[in-house]
Amino acid sequence: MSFVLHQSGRTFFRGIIAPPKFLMFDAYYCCLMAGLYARTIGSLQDLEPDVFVNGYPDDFKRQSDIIAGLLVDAELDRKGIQPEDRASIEREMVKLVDPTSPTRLNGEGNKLLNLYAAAGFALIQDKMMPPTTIEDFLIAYHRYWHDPTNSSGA
Amino acid sequence: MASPLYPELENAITEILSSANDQTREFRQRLRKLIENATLGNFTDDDVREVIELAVVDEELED
Amino acid sequence: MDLRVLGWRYENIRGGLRDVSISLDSSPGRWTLIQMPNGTGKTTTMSLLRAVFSGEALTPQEVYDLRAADITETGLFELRMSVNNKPFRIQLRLDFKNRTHQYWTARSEVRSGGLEEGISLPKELKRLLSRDFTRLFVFDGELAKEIRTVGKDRAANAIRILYRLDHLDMLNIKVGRLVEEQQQRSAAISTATERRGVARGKRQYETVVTRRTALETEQKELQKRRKEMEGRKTTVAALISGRIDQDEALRKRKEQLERERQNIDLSLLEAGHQGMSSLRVPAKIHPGIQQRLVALGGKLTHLKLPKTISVEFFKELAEQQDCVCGRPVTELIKRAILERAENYLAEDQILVINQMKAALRESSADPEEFTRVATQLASILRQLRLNTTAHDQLELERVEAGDTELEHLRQENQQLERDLDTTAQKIEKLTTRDPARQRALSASSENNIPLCDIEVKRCQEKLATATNTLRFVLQSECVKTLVSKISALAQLRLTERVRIATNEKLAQIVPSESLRVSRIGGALELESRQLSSKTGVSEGQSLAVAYAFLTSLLTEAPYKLPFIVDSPAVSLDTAVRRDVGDLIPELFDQMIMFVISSEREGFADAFYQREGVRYITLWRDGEDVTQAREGLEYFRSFHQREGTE
Repeated sequence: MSFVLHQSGRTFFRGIIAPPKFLMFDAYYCCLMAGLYARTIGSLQDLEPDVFVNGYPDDFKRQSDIIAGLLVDAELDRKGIQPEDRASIEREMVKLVDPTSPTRLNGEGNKLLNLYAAAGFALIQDKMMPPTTIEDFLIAYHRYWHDPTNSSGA
Repeated sequence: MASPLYPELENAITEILSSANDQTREFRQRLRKLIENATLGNFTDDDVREVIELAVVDEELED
Repeated sequence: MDLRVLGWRYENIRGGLRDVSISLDSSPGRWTLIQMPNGTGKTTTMSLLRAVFSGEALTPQEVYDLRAADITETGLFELRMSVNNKPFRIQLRLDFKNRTHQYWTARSEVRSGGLEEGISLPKELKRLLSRDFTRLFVFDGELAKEIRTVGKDRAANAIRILYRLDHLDMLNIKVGRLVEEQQQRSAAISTATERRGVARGKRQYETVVTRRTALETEQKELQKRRKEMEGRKTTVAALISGRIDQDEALRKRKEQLERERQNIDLSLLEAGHQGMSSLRVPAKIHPGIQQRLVALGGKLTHLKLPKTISVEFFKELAEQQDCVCGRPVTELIKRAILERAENYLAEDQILVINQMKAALRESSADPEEFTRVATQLASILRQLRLNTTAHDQLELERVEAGDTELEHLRQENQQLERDLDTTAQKIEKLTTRDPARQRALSASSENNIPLCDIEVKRCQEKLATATNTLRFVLQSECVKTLVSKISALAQLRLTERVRIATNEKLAQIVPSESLRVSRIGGALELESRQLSSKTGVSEGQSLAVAYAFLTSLLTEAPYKLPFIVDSPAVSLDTAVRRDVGDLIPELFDQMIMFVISSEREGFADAFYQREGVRYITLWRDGEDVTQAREGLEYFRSFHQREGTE
């Protein structure tokens, strides 16, 4: 499972990447959550050429089922699949799911995840300056989620 | 000087060569022998050249 | 290779050695003690032995100084030895009148039995017997100090030479030469166009290498400047603090603020930690996420997904004769069943979806947690800002009170911050390996070291290709690397073995002193705690260490060499003498010891009980001519005559 960043992601987050406190994957994950919630995907051209990490870091392994679930949820919504359309829902899941993968997702699911993360990055970048400290970022990220004018807020 | 190599050198050769697993067995055997011979002054230029030419390398040039 | 001394003789050598012959031939002759009072040519003999082993050149003065008397015109020193049981005779012929010398060798293999000019020993032995190396087994007391002198790599070199690791260095040098030859050969046969290509390749390569060096210099400069500025910044901060302290009231406030600051930093750390924990659980980020997770779980359950019937069920069904409903399964029906099966999930897929469902159902989180932490962080950061402002305020108050120096310091601080920023950017541009950053900063091989390194390698390889030698160069590098690694590893282990063996012997020779070798780098390094800073190491201790080292070195080496030593125990106290006397001779197949009468006690007398010891006594008679006599009784009872030094 190869995770790929938005091409401007590294620069945007460079002030706060400080493993193990804040990983590059944390940055990816934050963008991913934003993109999934907004049911928006970016395009392959937005992405960096290379993978930045293969597989979930230890702190995230537990969340693999949840993240796979969120992906399915986002795809169903994005494609406008009706909640009663059992067959389509099942088909969608089969398209994305790989039982043998430690992330529960296959190549197609992988690719989509990266695209959602790319879109999420664009949304975040729009709403805040490149963060200079982890604490500042946590506050700003929280604000992003709770901003009533934000289309992806609750 | 029929004595075999002393253990430290013998083991060093074994250790280093066994971790060079991108190399062929022939290369490793020949290099070992060359080193043994070298410690006794028992080698020619051609010996060295032959062993060199057995080494496996990656010649690809990026352009 | 087994080297043994069979004897030697002198003609017209100083010290009264007009015509003396020492013979160690008759078996077994493992240990020989030669009692030579001072003035009978002990030192001369040691020098001569070293000279003939190594074939060293003597200066005219040295030749002349060896004469027995002013009128003697010629002299001779001849050493008889066996190499792997083959006898050799080496002569050092001295012409005192012309102050010249010459070596001659007689080898048993040469049928004529005649003498050949020069030293004709087996190649391997000749290579080993360098001047320095000879001093190891024809032991030079000065050596005892030198092997412990850092900077003189005697100890490490001794190991290297003795164990033939220097041969591996020569192997690598040979590889390098073959590469050069190959390159020259290729250059010679290439066409004019090709040669131009090579010339151009060379120029490009050199340009890039020069640039790399320049970039590295620049980096060092920048780093140096950064360090200086950081140092200055610390100093300035301290000075500022000092200026604030001048006002008692301000000082108190400052200290209060600093205490507060510490607490704030701690809270910030904790809150940050909590924030990251919350962040990493999707359901905690926002209640909406949790809602969607639950909704999806509900949807799947409601739809009874995944279906519990799997594709395997259908496949099995297709293989049956009869369907579950009782009807026979025809070809047509079989095909229909298999087609239908494709709409179903495989068992393991079902499993995964069930796991997902379970995770969704179980996911729960305190929806307010993240908000709480964010709020807390915001509050702490506010406190931090207030604290910083208040601290700043202290400085401003001093400035307003007329402290111009403080004002200058503040300005300097600001300038330093700006300069440090600029420098950091420059360093980043120069050193970053991150491709995204390289792009962002417009870094290239002209101004970035990692990129320049890539360019250097490229030019090197291009040049090698141009000279048709790329493959050979790469292969040679491969071989050299392996050989170097092997050599280094072997040396490391050998050194350790010798060190341990040395310490074992030291423990036996000088148990009470706990003198130990801590490390053999270039030199033998002793554990510092035993060395008193005032006196350093005593001569006796120094000798003990040297013996322990040398015997450890020589006894297990691939060569068997005799150990020849002059006054081995004279500086040792009696207890140590005994131990040395007991221990060291066991370690050698042949040992020749020159002793003086006072050494008999404690050292020589340890030998009297042994078998196979030869005792020779030399003395100067009334006519000032040295005589030799063999035998234990004479040896034991010998007293130096009055009047002789």
